[in-house]
Amino acid sequence: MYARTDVILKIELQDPKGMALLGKIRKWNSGIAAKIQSLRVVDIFWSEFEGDQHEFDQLALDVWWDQVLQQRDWPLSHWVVEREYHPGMTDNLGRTALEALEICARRKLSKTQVSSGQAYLFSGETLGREEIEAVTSTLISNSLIHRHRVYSGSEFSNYARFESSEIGPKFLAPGGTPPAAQKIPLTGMTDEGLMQLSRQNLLSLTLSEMKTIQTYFAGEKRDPTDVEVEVLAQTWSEHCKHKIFAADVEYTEEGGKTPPIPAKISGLFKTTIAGTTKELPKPWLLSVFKDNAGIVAFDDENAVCIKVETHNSPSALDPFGGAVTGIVGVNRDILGCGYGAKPIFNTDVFCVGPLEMKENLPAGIIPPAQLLEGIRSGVEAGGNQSGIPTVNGALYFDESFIGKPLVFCGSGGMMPRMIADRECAEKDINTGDLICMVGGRIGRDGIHGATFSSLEMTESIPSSVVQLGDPITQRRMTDFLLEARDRGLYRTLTDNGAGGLSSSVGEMAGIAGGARMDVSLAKTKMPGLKPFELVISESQERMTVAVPPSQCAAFLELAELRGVEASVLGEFTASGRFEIFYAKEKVADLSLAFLHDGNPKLQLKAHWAHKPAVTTDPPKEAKPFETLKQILKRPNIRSKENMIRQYDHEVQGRSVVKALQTSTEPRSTPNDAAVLSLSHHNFTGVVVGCGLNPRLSTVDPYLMAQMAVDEAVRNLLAVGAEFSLGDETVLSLIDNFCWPDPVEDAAKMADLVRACYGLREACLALKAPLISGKDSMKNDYKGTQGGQPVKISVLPTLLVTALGRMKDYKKARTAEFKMAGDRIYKLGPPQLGLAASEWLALKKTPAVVKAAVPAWDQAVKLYSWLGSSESVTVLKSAHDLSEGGMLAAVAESSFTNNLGIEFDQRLELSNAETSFGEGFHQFVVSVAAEKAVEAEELWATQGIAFTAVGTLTAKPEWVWKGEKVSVDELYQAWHGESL
Amino acid sequence: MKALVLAGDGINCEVEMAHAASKAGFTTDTTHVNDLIKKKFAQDDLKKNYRALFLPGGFSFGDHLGSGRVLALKLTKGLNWNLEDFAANGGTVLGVCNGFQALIAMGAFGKQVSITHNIQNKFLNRWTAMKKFPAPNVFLTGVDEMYLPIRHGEGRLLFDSSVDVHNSPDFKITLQYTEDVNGSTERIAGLVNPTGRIFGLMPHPEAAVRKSQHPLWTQTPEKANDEEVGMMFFRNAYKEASSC
Repeated sequence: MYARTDVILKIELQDPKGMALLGKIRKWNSGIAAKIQSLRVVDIFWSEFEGDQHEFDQLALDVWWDQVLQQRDWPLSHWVVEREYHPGMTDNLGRTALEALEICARRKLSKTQVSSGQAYLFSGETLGREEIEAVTSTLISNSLIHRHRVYSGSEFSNYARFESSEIGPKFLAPGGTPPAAQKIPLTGMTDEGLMQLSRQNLLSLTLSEMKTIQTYFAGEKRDPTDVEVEVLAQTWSEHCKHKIFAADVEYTEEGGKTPPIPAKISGLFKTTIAGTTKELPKPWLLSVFKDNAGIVAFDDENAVCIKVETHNSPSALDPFGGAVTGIVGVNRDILGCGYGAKPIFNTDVFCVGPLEMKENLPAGIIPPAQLLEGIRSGVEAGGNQSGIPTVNGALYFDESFIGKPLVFCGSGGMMPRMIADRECAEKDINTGDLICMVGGRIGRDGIHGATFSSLEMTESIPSSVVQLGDPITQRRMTDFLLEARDRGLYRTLTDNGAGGLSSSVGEMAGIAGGARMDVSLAKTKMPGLKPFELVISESQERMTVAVPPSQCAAFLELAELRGVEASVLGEFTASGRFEIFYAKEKVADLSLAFLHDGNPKLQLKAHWAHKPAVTTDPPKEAKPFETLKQILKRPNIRSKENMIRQYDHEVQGRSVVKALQTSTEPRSTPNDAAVLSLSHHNFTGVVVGCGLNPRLSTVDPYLMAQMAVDEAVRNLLAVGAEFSLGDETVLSLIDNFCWPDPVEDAAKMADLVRACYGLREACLALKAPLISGKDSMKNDYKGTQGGQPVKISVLPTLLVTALGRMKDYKKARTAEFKMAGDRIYKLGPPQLGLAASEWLALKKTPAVVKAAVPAWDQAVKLYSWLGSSESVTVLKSAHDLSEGGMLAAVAESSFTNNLGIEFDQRLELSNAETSFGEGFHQFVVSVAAEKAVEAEELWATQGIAFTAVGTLTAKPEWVWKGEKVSVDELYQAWHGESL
Repeated sequence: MKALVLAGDGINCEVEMAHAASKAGFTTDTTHVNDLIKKKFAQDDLKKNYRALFLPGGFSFGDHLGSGRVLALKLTKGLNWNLEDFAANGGTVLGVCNGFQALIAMGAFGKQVSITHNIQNKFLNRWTAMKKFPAPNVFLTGVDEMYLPIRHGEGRLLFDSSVDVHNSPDFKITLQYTEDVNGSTERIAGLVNPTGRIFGLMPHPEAAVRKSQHPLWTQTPEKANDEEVGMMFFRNAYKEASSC
């Protein structure tokens, strides 16, 4: 039987959902918002129920009805918009509703389907249909995911919504077409034919790759199936194979060589990333670059693993869904790392276009404000619902990110170093181990994600690449797998991410020596999936597990008891081949050697046209405090409190240093990095921070990369992480490259080469190994703007995430100034620059300004002291000096306790470089008055450069020579429009 | 002295909850709801084996259909515990955040109260001040004013218009925010049953058990080893359990 259930909030109660949506409309189009008298949201559930009306009505009372909150009558309104999911889309509410019906019916309802949706009730006499349509298509309904209908009030009252299922979601009919694998006639296909095939099927394979495949199957004396071609396309995609980082590069440079970079580079990854870590053989490195995440030993019992992913393309299409799947996806990297780890924190970094850009955007582009809110709420949903705290992040605005935003999702986890007498970092598989797929079901969502993200964005994209997340299914799977791990019920596991089963089983087959599976055994969301769809679908919340036959029964029993679906698909073999069946039919049979190493190496050219190094007299600042207020308002610096507070950053009870240092006022100073307790039973601290400075790429990516490393490490040191050049301290780095496509562009390739060598230089100087990373190389938009064709490429961006340690987290430091009378100093070499600075962006002057350059020998002295226990007793606060320069850092530190400053008269604040210059190795610290002399002597003897900045005063006012400004004015500038 | 900590289906805070309980002296069993249902762990088993029941925070069933609602259905239909009877026989019950929401949906505080989306329609993670209300509550002995973290999107308590919240046979107000953080009726942060042994609140005492969790602890580093106020909730529960 068909039934529709409307969940209607009592009209006398305020409707937060409606008010929040109205707020969004106001931000987007105040004109339309002004016409809306009221806006309320109703939840709708459409059911196809296998029992009778009477039973359904009884169940519905238990499942949906709330006498305190709800009313039966549908409130009148001028317009009603009904929204539902496209068939087959992940529908978490619908799934939970079905589960609730089963709980109340006390039986499985295998023939029942429930689909959820919403109705948006607009009141306002003057609202027109076009305006409602505009609001709906911009803020309510994403055509890739939803279908919607607009009714006038009278139309809606004539709509017999309870009677028939004609309108509303289409339930999936059982059965469906019997799928079959197609032969692809490669034999004798022309070059044009090959490329057309690649384009039409979103394979994103190059001609030489298509020819290599053609030759391989000529050798096999047969044509491939669509499954085989798809498996190769996934495995060879830039996303999975990192072909650019593996390419042979020819590097040339105008003028002198700075730094010395070889003319021929055989693989940037091998030489500058893995190669750099090879030169830093730290005893605590347990697993680097070979697993889903890097693994580091933290103490005798525990190891910590970390991974940072990007989810740029999916987030550009569906910000919320893209970000949820980004964060829960990287959580699966942690879960699937080594023998399995428990996620203990998340991080997020977003690079987006300026929020004020609303009109005349390139075709198909979501306005930055909506996009940011979408990805933020996606990370919120993914992290909060999974019980994983989001503890650190960054937000960076630049016009170059308007075409394709950068969405970095990171996660860290912990694992015992030994589990059931096995090293946690181990990943072995025996012949005969069973291939088990665990968690979510396979649907048509997320097909071609890997290959799609290896293409530039265009206006036309297939909706099949869109994925929605289901954090609860993943949470159950995570609990189950960690329990199974501790009971030794499986051998190893990995994530089903990009490429789906073709990648996860393909990779594990590489370890085992072969695999044979029957994809017709996989549980699916819908009938009629073709074999190739089953193999490459990236439907979320799935892990692939190698289970010893002896444990299989126990493994499946526990899965069922934990409400987790698991299906055995086949077994690992020693055949050296990847064999895929659909029931009796063999649909793929590929040599693993060819699958993993058969793709031709790229040959790339890189040419660096020297930018002139400039030095000039530093510009003057007549009114430094006035300029500071402007700087503090800039989106890259402005308070992010509103975003931070919507992330649960304390779940799991590990929090030691939070993102914000907040007084009871409440007033906040931003901290530089997060400190977490590793275990409830000791005081080991996990420290995580990040650094990026994309704009510096316009000067030299070689500097940009070194700055990213330096900033990430500075952030850790500010909160008290340990540091030394020796092996006794733990500091490791994660690199994430997001680049515009450099394949056909020697200049962009040169940017990449210089960034890699900058990264390498910084890592070697600090003896900080890289342990994991990811690259995304196709961050370009090709489309139209105002009818004209445009191409928008992101700034070459390297995000560096740093993972550090504290032996005793009770020694942690925070960024806020503590008390009147304390002395403020700037630590670090005097040299600062204004190139690519926030000051320059504010002034919009073409002023020729100099860029700061690193001085790693001095940095090591400073960092070794900051990373020692000695600094703990001397410093009362420490804050990284980064975007906005010294005055911005000093201002932020003043906020929590609302303290004023008597600035040192010798300080030349009228020199823009002094006040707003940005650079390497800089901190703003405070020291108790009675310790000032001792501190200065100590720094002098250790060769640590320092500058006296001033003295803290109880009166909340800054004073420098004639200039004055109240701390409150500065706080309002910074926090007024918190993001 | 044994305490039962519920887990599974999206309950997230069972580890820190169990940690706080055991630090206070309890022997804790952290048990998946499905295991209890499979074992048919009935009222008598609960009374026989445990002196305290802890419902931790989290996002059970993703908060779909209303926070705590489906977990409450599962507990009610699957186990049919009588918490009043458990409490009347020396037991204590603490529900935090999602655990509180589940207690409400189970009817632990009567049928005329419900909890829904914050008025800002936002999830909110911040520390906030609150005050104990004059009502019996075995968990709050010796605690009056406190500063605790809230982490919720649905903490707005609403009551049937017929209810006098200050004079109800089904519940007593026990904890009140000093400022309006989420639109909750009368700034209510927590409810207790009339005997003061079944306690539900939105703030997270289990995330405020050590000083170094407090947002301003680095201003008094010498106190870094101290306990934070949340620990009192569990110590009181243990005292109560031992005294019966």
